[in-house]
Amino acid sequence: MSATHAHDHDHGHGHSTAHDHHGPPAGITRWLYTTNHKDIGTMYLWFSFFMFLTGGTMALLIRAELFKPGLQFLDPEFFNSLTTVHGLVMVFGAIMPAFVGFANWLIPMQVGAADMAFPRMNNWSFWLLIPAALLLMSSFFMPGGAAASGWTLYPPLIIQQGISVDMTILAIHILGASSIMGSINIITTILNMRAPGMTLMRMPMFVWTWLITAYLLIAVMPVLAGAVTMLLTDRHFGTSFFNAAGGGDPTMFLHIFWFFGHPEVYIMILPAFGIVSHIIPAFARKPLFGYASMVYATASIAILSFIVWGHHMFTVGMPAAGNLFFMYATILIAVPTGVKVFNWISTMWRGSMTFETPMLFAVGFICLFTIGGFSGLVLALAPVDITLHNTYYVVAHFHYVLVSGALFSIMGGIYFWLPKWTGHMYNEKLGKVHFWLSMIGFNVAFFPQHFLGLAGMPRRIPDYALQFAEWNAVSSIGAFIFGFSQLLFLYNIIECIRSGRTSTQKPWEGADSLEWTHLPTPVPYHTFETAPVIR
Amino acid sequence: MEKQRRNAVITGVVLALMAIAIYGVVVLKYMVR
Repeated sequence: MSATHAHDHDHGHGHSTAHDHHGPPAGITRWLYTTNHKDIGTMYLWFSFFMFLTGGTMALLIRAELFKPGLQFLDPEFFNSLTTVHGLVMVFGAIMPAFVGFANWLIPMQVGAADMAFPRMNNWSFWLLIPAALLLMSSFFMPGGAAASGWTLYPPLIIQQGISVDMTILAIHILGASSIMGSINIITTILNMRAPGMTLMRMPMFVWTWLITAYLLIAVMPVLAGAVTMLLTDRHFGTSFFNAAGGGDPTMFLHIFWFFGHPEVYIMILPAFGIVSHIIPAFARKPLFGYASMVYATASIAILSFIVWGHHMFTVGMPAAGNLFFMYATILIAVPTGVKVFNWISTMWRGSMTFETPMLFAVGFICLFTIGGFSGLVLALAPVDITLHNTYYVVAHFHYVLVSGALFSIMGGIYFWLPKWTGHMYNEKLGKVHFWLSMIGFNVAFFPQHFLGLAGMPRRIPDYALQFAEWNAVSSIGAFIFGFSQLLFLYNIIECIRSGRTSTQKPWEGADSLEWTHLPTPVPYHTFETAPVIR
Repeated sequence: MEKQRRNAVITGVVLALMAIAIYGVVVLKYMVR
């Protein structure tokens, strides 16, 4: 491991061309051996896009099967594998690596550093993802098919399945190691490599949200690793941590898993808050309203995330006092989340707003994430959750949080920073078409799932009773609109990289973080060789 | 910037130890039960 460092002498603001004596090496070795934070960020983002399309294909297979009642063309066991691997791929392969890609690209630029603190470890963090993804995906071809227990890997079912579960466990260990190394890199970069004058309370919101997210990751990824290690020893080494037949307790797995799982939800949404906190001020042409309260709200959400895991398991038979505690703690999270939503709205209030594609995604995020938050409050109520547990209402809720929350912010962020990354503008008209098709497709796909859940349709089933037919058909149509509209996104990105019109240094009038004000567009291969001084 | 490099390595090592300790605590807690 080596720590790079920014020079502390100042030759004016920004990048010194005198030091820009070489660009990237050519060919495949550039990507295999790279220690450059931008190259690694790019690889993370393309990897996550590929996994997003892979997980999305699984989702479309699921929705095709559910288009009408009865079994159409999927074997029920394969259907269960699809729901399981779709969840794992989207959480660990698409959303998390996308945010790490953003972190790699943006954090050194936004804090005024030359690169990440441990560039070689950064390379390793990325390349670990490839064997993990291969393990996970190739488990479909093992006897018995891929893991079919749902992404939560609950025993006792998971203990009884074949070798694909071991492959999944190994993949999760590798992904966890990658995440922990990435988090160590991010925290170290932020704490040690900020430019002179970049105090903690002057850092851009994206950097703040990632600092807090990285601490969450270091705190909970080892917990997940512990849980799946114990699953592995239960399966092969005669232990009975979670095996009731040997005196173990399957419910204990739920406690450990969700002690990881709920902070994980915030790991997937806090960086989204950071991205939206950049886009909204840029297009409202006003500074972010309530910066300090945004920082404190982010920290509060992170701290509270450790004491709410029980709301995922209201039906396991915890004492009433336990249910009440988890219910109240969960409802409490609405307070800092509300602070954030009101701050974004206050930022827009009386701003000179324009609605380019990133802003459309950011406003779409606020509206739809808030719906997801409210359905979360409904589910937080223990008596209500006992009815809605394991129904499609839960599926609707977390897709509103993770698709129109995390994913919309990723898409908005990509449109927002693409000019800075590539030096080219994307096609604005195509971007808007992509947004509206995504917005309509998403709502048509997932809003009816609230109705299905309220009517009692259970999740993770390939067939269902006739009374659920209409809304399932509508949901499937919406899913296909949403899914195929992402091809426009892919086309727009490729067209932007290859032949988009040249971008100015700061295409967005209201953008004010260091990468816009202190660095040329496109950003040179080596970022700040001379640290800027922040006044 | 030797000092910055040293501080970065110390921060990294402390964070790595933290992660390993959490993993150890989770597994050991249930092994000795």
